[in-house]
Amino acid sequence: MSKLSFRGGIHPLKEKHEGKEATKSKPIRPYVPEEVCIPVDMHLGAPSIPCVKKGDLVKLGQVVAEPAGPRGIPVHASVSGEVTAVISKQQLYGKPSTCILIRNDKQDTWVDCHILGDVETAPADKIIGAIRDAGICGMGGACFPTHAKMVLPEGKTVDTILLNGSECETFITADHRLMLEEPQRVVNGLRAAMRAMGVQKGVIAIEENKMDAYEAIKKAAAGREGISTALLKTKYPQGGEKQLIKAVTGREVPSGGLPMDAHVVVLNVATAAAITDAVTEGKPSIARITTVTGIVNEPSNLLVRIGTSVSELITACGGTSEEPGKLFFGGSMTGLALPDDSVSVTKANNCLVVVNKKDAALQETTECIRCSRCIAACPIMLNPQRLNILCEAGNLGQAKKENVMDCILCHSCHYVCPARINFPFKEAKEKIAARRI
Amino acid sequence: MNLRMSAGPHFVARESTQTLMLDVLIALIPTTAAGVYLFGLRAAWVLAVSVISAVLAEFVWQKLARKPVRVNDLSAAVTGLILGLNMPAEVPLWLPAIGSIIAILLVKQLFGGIGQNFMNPAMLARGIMLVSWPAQMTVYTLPMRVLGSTSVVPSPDAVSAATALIRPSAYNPYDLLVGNIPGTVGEVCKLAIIIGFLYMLFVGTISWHIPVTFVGSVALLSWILGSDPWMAILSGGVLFGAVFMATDYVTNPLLKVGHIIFGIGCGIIVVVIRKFGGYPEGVTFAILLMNTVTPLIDRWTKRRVYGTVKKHG
Amino acid sequence: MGKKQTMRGVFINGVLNENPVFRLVLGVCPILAATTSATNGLGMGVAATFVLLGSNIVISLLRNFIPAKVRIPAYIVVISTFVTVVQMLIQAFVPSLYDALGIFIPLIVVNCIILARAEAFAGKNSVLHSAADGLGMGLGFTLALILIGMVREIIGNGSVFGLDILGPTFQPMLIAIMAPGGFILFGLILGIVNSIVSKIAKRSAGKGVKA
Repeated sequence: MSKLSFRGGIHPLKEKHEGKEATKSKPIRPYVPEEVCIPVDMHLGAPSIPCVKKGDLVKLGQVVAEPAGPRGIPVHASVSGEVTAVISKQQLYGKPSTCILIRNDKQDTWVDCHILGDVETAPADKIIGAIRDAGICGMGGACFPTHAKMVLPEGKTVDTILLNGSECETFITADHRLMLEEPQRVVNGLRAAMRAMGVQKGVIAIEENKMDAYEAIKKAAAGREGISTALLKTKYPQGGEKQLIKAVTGREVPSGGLPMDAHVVVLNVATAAAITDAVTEGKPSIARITTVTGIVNEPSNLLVRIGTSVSELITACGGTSEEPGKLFFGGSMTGLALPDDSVSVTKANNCLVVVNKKDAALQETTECIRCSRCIAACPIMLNPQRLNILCEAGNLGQAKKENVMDCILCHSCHYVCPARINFPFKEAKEKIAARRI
Repeated sequence: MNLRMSAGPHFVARESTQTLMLDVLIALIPTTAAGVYLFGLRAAWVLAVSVISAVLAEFVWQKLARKPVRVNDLSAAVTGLILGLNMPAEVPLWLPAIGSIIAILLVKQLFGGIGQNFMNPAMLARGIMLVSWPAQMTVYTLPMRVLGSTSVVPSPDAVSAATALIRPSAYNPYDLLVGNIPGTVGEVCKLAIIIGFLYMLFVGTISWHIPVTFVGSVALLSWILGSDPWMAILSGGVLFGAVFMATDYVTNPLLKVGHIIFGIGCGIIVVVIRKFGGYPEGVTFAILLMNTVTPLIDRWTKRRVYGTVKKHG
Repeated sequence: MGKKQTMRGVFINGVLNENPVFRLVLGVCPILAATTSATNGLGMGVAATFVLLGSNIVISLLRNFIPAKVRIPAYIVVISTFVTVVQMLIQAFVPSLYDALGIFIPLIVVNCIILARAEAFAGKNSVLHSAADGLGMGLGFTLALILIGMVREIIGNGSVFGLDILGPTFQPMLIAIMAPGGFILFGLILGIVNSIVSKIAKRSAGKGVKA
């Protein structure tokens, strides 16, 4: 079988098996916390509006915050119990978020769930509404509301839904375990999405370092209408939307465009599984699989309730062997560093990595030696070496002309740089967008 | 809990400037060893002087200019060693010292230090010395010892001889390959250079593009102009230049297609100088000339950015 | 020019503040070509000074008679007259210098310094001021040429004004008296002189504030 891929890219932490060795064979185990702290702004877009107050008793899956606007999604209680507070609390970055604290009564009493039916027979026009009501947003990390992705603007057409099971980021094995243990949920979710959008073709794309998951999905997808599988080369950022579309369909997303401009919608496999739950069981998005790895004593794949604090996750994995120097959500390439360990797990957090002091130490930046490794690594075919010079010199107009806005912030250039240059493209893109250069 | 906040990537590749330079030094070990074996202790002195004075010059400059001292990135050591390998073993010892100082101070630091020089420091220093002290820089001697059974008689008294380029037919292919010929310390043993090349390819220090196109175009052009292509490659400094000097990151183009243009350009200039120029060998000047057009090559070679339509013109 | 300068000021200005070689970087062609030795530098400097002085005086005298439209050709005619005189004088009395400088003597005609001073100064100022300017500029040019010539001669030949000073064991660095070495050393000397001058200026400016 030919392995699909794209030009450029890197193989991060190759000598350490992408950091996945510790957890790739760890089965998913559920973890139920004593208390959850659920931020209402987990998804991209306007924050939801809390509709419970201190002292309210809530059931599992009950809506605790209403969506703001048509692109918003509701937030659900991830445990049953008493609302102890609605507070403002610092989460990952930016302004403090409004959070709903719920003490777990350990009863897990569900609210009444509205079941649409089997994914093949449920009314197709109701599926997108069910996805919205279930509060599903992209679980690969971006957390863009899924229903908003599936409602196309006038004049746009989509012929393929791509299910992203590449999991090219380091350390994460959450999607790997999901595809291996529950391939039917993934395939069913894709069928539901295809029927909802009226798309005939669905492709599940998986990197070759997860052959067992690939075989499981292939078996589960056998005989399902319109669904095929694609084996991808192990390469970062294979799971970037643009790279995935290029690898699987051969199409390119036009500069400045969205995947739908290449007639493709990309969904994460975990999102697909959540869609299955929403359609067949009426259950909202209240938990997700998160890989906890690094210097924790028992690296695990946990089924975590949304709103569980990071410190509880670390305790659930046996604590750490030495003092942590850095914590980050996601893989090591694009992961977000945590200010402290009281931050809550949201729908986007597929992985938590605990790093020791030594690996967290700052690496000194030296002079560029023009080795051109960044150029070979760039999956967008940019010239990071030159763009870095332009951005450092403040020449953002020229940087924009040389396509800095097409940068996907994959950090491949930074990863390979022997001079440890911190390529300032995120700041440059933000400045250009703000100033409308 | 004291946690460090930073944007990704949270882990970076193993390669740093220091490890890359170390890999070049490792790749130069066979060449250095062969040179010292063939030309004796005298060659070791030349190499030691050039390396030490290069490192010292960089250290003193960075101290005086109140810059961070980064001698441990090994780039000065690489420059010094390559410069030393580019000299005949019988040069007076002040020559490698002056050469290293020229390379580090004039060519590298005055233009802003590592990454900023527009010509390869070792190459330009060698070029300046070749023009300034032509007599001393071209005193080639027959090796004091030889590798393997051969028709070449070793000359322990350092008998001077013309470079093998003048009359390559005097030596058989085996002698040319293992370095039983007169020449500079580093350029004679082609076998050692090839080992170093394969090492750098294996660990990913360099790509094949420049060395292969450089050597290939020298061979092809020599053949077209009626010389023996094997002799053209094996008798002079082409192999050493193509593997260790043309591949200097700072002074060659950024894209692979640029590397190919660079390599072919070097090859053409070498053959032109050998055939029609005043010097018997042209590797130094070929690389220097191509160094100066590197910014132009970078400007002309562009890749199509993902999701854009190729621009014409 | 805002305020009227004194003649002494004009003279000093030409030697130091607006030194044609190190501050204005004019006439790089003779700077590079005629500094292979200190003697050559001196010869070229004196020749240029003579032309500068003469052309400045004459052009200043004629400044009210030359129509603006044809002033450049008129200046060139004046300058080339003096250059021809200089060329003949050198050829007659210092033939060795004539051989060494060769084409660069007639090329003084198009030397930027001379035309620039005619255009920028002599065409607008009185005769005495123009003479002072010509002398100052010429002296500045000559001193700079001698300095560069000495450095190149010491490095490239081990001698100063033809006198061997470094002994027979010295191995001269030939590139210093060749064209590429001329560029490299001119650049280095330019940098060193300017860094010294700017340091002095900074120090005197600091004093001025204190006083």
